[in-house]
Amino acid sequence: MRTRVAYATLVVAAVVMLAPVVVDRDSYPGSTYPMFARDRGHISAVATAVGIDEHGEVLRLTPNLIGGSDEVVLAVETVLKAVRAGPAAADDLCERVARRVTRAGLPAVRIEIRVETLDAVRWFTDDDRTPLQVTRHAECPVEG
Amino acid sequence: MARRWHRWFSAPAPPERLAVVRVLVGGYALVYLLGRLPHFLNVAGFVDDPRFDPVGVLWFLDRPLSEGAARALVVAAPVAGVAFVAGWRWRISGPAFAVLFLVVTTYRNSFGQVWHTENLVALHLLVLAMAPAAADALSLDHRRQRRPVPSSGPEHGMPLRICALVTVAAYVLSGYAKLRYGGFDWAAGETLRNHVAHDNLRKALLGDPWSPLAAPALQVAWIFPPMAAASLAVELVAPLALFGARLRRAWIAAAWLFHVGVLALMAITFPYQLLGIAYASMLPAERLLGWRRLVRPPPDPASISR
Repeated sequence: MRTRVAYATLVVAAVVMLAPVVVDRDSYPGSTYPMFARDRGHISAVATAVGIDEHGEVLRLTPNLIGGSDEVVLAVETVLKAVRAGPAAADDLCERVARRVTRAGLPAVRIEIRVETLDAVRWFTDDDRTPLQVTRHAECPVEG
Repeated sequence: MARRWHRWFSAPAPPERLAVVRVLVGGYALVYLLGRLPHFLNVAGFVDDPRFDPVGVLWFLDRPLSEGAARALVVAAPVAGVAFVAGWRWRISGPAFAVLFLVVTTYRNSFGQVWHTENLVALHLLVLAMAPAAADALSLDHRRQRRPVPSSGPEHGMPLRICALVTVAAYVLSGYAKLRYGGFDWAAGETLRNHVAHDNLRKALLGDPWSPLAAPALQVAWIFPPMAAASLAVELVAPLALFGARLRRAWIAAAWLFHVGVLALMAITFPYQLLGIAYASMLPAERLLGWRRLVRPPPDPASISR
């Protein structure tokens, strides 16, 4: 690496790393490194999809069934985006999840797209696992 | 000042050091791509996906790639990775793998969620790809050319310096983000405690493994202020790693422990850092070759002469 090329590489690397910080928009491979930076409080709103069996019991679904990938964060973001986009997007996601659940052979009779609000710290410290609030955004049957 | 900086920046390094870093970083990226191949192939199938929100070098795309094109990139990347690690046709394979790794991981980050575990790998690969001298040793190119390994020079040292600066900058920016979004209150520990609780809760609700240490740790609120202050300090004082071997080793140990803590409390793995490869450019990495000789002793000279 010649000296000029080395300095040019250094400048490009600096621009790539600083640009997202300057414009305050997360990117890749430069990043604003937003994870864990903001205080989100102890109340968590988790966007998710759940299955409901014939007895009305909630079946927790894996990230793969929800988002089509094994990544938890992507599954949550998938539901969140659909919820924010409105009822049509939430219905569309619900049907996609239902198709995956059918293929997986889970004993769910319907799917709910919902946002569960919980006290995250108390969930661990007091064993109080009851959601403070559950908001349903879509509901669809699982073809059996 | 400028002269001192240039002297530091262009300090010579042995070609084996740069070559070992090439093999370590490239090898990590190759194993990572192969290990996550099903996931990347799965993402390649996200056609007409409403989540598509391109980032980085793929900003110009207005829709996902066709499944065939995306799969071709996912398959081509590890092939180029083998050539990168072996140092075969380096001037082509180096940039090719760095760009393919960047594109494949950027594509995966373009569906609504940007991950932060591959940033350093991608940046280190790009820096190494810009260094023709990275294949001066431990490479098929070097073996084919049948010339002696060149002596230490700035062309071997400067890419390592840039990699080290990139590593340090990533930590500082991460610390800066905490001050920018959370202020100095971040060091009080409440934000960290909430994140530990939230991240594990999300995993628990989605049937993913969560940290068995989360519940006992969250019961003991007083441990979070010192942990938060220490985490922030490790990130913000990262530039100390550029000053002297003792400070460097101390900072690397602290940064590594920081990632161990993240793994223990949040079940979030930063494998590039935990394996120590993220810090290889700051260390006399060529000493690993000595371990190789210990494992496989050189042949008996008498047997060669016969």
